[in-house]
This record gives sequence, C-alpha cells and structure tokens, in this order.
Amino acid sequence: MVTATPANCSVAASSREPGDTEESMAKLLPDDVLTIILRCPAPHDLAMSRCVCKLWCTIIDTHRMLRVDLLPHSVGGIFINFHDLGLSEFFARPSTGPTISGNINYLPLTSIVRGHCNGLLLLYSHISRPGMKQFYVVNPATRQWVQLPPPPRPDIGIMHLDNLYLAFDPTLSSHFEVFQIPYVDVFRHRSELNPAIEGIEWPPSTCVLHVFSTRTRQWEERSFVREGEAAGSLAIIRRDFPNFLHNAVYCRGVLYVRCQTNFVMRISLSDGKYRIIKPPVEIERYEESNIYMGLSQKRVYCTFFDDPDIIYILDESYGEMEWVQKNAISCLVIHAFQQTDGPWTLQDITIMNILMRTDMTTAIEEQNFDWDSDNDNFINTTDERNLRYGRITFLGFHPYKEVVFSSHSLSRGLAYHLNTMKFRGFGKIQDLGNLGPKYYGGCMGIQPFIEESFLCTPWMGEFPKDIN
Amino acid sequence: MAAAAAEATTDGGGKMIILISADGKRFEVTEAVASQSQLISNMIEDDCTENGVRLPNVDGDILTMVVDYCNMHAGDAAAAGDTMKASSTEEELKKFDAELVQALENPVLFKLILAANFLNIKSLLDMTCQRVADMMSGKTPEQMRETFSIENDFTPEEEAAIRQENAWAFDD
Repeated sequence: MVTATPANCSVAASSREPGDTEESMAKLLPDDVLTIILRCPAPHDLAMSRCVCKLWCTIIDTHRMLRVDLLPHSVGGIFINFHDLGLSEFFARPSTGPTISGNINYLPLTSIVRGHCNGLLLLYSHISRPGMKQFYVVNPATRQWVQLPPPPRPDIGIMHLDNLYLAFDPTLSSHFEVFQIPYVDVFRHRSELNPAIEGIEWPPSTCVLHVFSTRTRQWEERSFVREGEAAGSLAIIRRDFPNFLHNAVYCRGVLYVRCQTNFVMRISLSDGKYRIIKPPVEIERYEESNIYMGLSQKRVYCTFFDDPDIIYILDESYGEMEWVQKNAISCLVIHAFQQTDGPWTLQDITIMNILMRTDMTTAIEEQNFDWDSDNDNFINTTDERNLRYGRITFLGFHPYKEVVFSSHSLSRGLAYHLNTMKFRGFGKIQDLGNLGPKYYGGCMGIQPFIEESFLCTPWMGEFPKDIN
Repeated sequence: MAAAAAEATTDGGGKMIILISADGKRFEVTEAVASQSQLISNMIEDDCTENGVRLPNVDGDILTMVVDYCNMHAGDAAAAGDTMKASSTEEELKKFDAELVQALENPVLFKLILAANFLNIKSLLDMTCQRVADMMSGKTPEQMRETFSIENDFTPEEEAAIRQENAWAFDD
C-alpha cells in the first residue's frame, strides 16, 4: 500500500486570525488554493475582493490579477460609415493609449461596422442574400473575432433581420450577448394599408427577442414584458425614414436601443422587462433626424444625429423615463479651417484597400500628440473670421468627459467641451483635423453624407476560451 | 496516462484500483476513472497502486463526491471521437456538475476544492473555484466577508484608501 503525499499541496499558513472557526475559509484553504480561486472573478468582483481582507489584497496584488489597464478607459477613435463607401472609416488620434487599427481586413468576408459596445465591434458582411450574410464580433485592439451563427428567421414577415446589438461589460465578464431587435419593415413600400394590421400595438406587450450568448454559443428566445405604454401602432412606426441608424447603449445590465421613429427600447436584462422611452420632442422634429444615444460619465445622453444643437440627458430618477434638455451648443459656429492637419487623422481605409496597402500603422505611429493638453488646437471662437456655417453631423459622446464629437461639412472633426458651453454660446471647441475620405463625393452618383458612427473604447482583454 | 487509458479501453473497463479515504472508506474504480486525477495517473504509471491508494487528507464523504464526478466524466475521452454522443452527454455533464456544487455548504465546497487540488483534477478544480467566484459575484466587500466568514483586518483608514484605489467599482 502507498500513501499519496500532499507534495503539491502546501500546508496552510500558520499565521491565521485567532477568531477563525474550524470550518472557515481562512482555516481550510491554504494561500496557494486561495490564489487559484481568486484568479476566477471578473474585474469588478476582484476590485471588491481586494477590500475584503489583507490576505486577499496581497494575493491579488502580488499576482497582478486585477488588470484595470486592460479595461476600456480611453477613446480609441471613431468608426464612421460614409454613405456609399463599402468600408467603415476610422477617425482617430494616432498613438494615444492602446493603438487600434480601423482596418478590419482579417475577416473572411468584407464587412462594415454596425455596432460597438465597450471595445467590441459588431460587423455585418456585405452579402445580403438570405443565409449568406455573416455577422462578426471583433475586438479591434486584439484582432480576436467571433463569427455568429446565423440569426433565426422570424415567423412572421414584419421583422427586418439585420438589427443586432451587443451587450458586453468586461468589468463583469468577458462573455458577450447579441440581441436581435424587431424592426417593422413589411409595409414600407405598400400604399394600400390594412387597417387591422396598421392598428396593432407596437412593440407588443410581451416582446420575444432572439439573443445570442457566448456562454451557450447559440441563439435563444427570451421574453421581455413591457412596463408602461407602447410606442404606438404599426401605422405610426412605419413612418420612419430609410437611413436607419444603428445606435444603442449598454450600461449596468440595461440595453437601450434606438428604434424606428426614435423611440428607445429600454431592456432590462436581469428581470425580463422593457420600457419605451418616448423621443425628446414632437413628431415634426424627429421625422427629420435620427436621435443618437451615448453614454457619458455613466449617464445616458442623446441628441439629433443631423442637427445636434441640443443635448438631452435621460432622467430615470422616478421611474419615469424622460429626455431632459441638458446643453444647447452652437454647432453651426465653425472655424475657417486653414491648416490641413489636425491632431486626429482619418485612416482612409477605403482608399487604402483600393491601393492594396493594408498596413498603415507605421505611417500613423510617426505622429505623436497629447490630446488631453489644454492648448490642443482650440478654435478661437471670439474671432468672427474663424466662424463659418456648415452641415454638422454628430459623431459621439465622450464616455469619460463632458465632450461631444461632431463632423463639420464632412471635412473636419470637432470636439465640443460641454462644461465650457454657455447657452447657445461658443465655449471651447477643438479642431481635431480632417475626417473626409480622399476623393469622397467627387465621384458621380455618390451622395455624400455620414450614415452612422461608433465611438470605440479599446478593451485589451481576451475572449473566453472555446467560444468559437 | 495515455498508456493507462489505452489499457482501459482495450480490455473493457481496464484494471481496478482501490482508493482509501482518510477515515478508511474504500472506493473501487477503474484506472481510466482514477487517472483523471493527475496525481493517481502518475502513480499508475509508476506501477505503485496495486495495494490501494491511501489518501490521508481526503475524507470519505468528499472522496465519494470526487469518485462520482470522475465516474461521470470518465466518458469524456471515450466519447470524443463520436460528436453526436459527445454533444448529448455534454448537456448531462453540465447538469450533473451544476447539481454537484450547487447546494454545498461552504466548508464542504472548500474541502472539495482542496481534494481537487491535491488529487490534481483540473476540471473539478476549475469548476469548484468558479463556484466560489460565482458566490462573490455582485457582492460588496462586506457581503463577501459575511458569505465566507472572513474577518476584516484593515483599519478604517486602510480600507478607505484601498477602496479609493478601485473607486470605479464602487461608484455604481
């Protein structure tokens, strides 16, 4: 007979608190086993664990388990979909923080960015034949990517299929989920209306959503029960205009999705409920422009994508979800841009791919700027010669500062510092640089405008193992 | 380990070995089942399991769970070639694993972790440690201390400072 010796099992540390009971964690588990356990929690739980006791704190710090530096904490750049360009462009400040390339040329099929959540991008391939289209979730910081299984076909013919949104929070888990949000499409080209169908309440009181999770690696149905009023009837919803903006915010287990006619579905993932948030102003206004939501300093904001002069904040304080006016900015006031270079640059992916030059990183890395600097290309708004009017398109909310990004006349990127803005005043505005793709709009048949934009906050972490 | 597994599959079940717990309980298992433990697998390779393997720091009730787990998971390698079979058993295994750790009292869970670590059964160790991590999930430091009966040995100043270092996690 042999006796297995505990060679690989160290003896429990002797210096334990006298108050420990015989069966307590500290008494039972030696440090090396505790170390194995503390490798498991997500960053948020690990941050809490550091404060539990000295031993835990020491183990976590000694093994550098809590990697806050890998979590999203900076703006890596902005993905912009220009109308009629086949690829998403990337407007970014070179070499700030983790550098990412907007050129996602490593997927099996050429794809365009349609969503972003905490560092992950959702891309749709160009092929639109049923069963041929592919959907990818990509981490541009690590170039890891996952191809989603085909989303399920809906039973009835009123859903538009390509309407997927990411829910991902790397402080809680490196797993992600993708939600398919119903979209009413069947009536768009029909003039004859069936009153019985047109009168149907939308969205339904119980909304069954298809959800993909990397935990199960498949699409599943999940029911969400509506609290409060519907957005309206199908007749109202179909008045949406054709340039659909994919826009969503995910924060604290709640997914906010911009839907047709600018109502927002506020989906609470934990308790299977959803609410409708009505648009900020009357119907005349929101027929003109999509709203664009974003997260800034953990609050949900929105503005109008094509006319971002008023910034709204979502007031959820009394369970009454409501958009409240926060800032009014004079977006029309613009600099007569004299310099051609700014601190940010457009990666010019379309042209780059045409020229078959796929690696631009060296060219970009030669430049080095500090965007946080106080004198970083601010526009002198007191000099009227600097002011010029143009078409403004909203690009995004800075997630960590009171700053919003916009595009002026498809040529310059601007950053507005909201805390310096007086009512319809100028405040501090930075000229970030040229964001127009080369030769864009010069070709016949192209109607130049920005369709969508996605602010990207790089996440340097890894996907869970075996999610493919 | 490979040699032991090959032996087990060729002669239908393979040789039996006896595991003896700290309190003298005896468990008869096939070599294929036992060799999921890297510790025992090494002993099988060294040919020193003939008269039984005594495990002086694993109690009988804990070893019962470990043997159940190993019996359940012994099919993993055998079924790997047959994808249909593997996918059907995957569901069962997940259910079995979840039920195994779900209702355990803390001390039993910790002893199971210790046994998995000592016997070096990686999948069982991963699963049980993950269970502890799941118990931490969404909890404040106070709740964690309560869950695991841990004494707060920080001074109020130290604790305030350490919370400040991870303020991002606390301001929700």
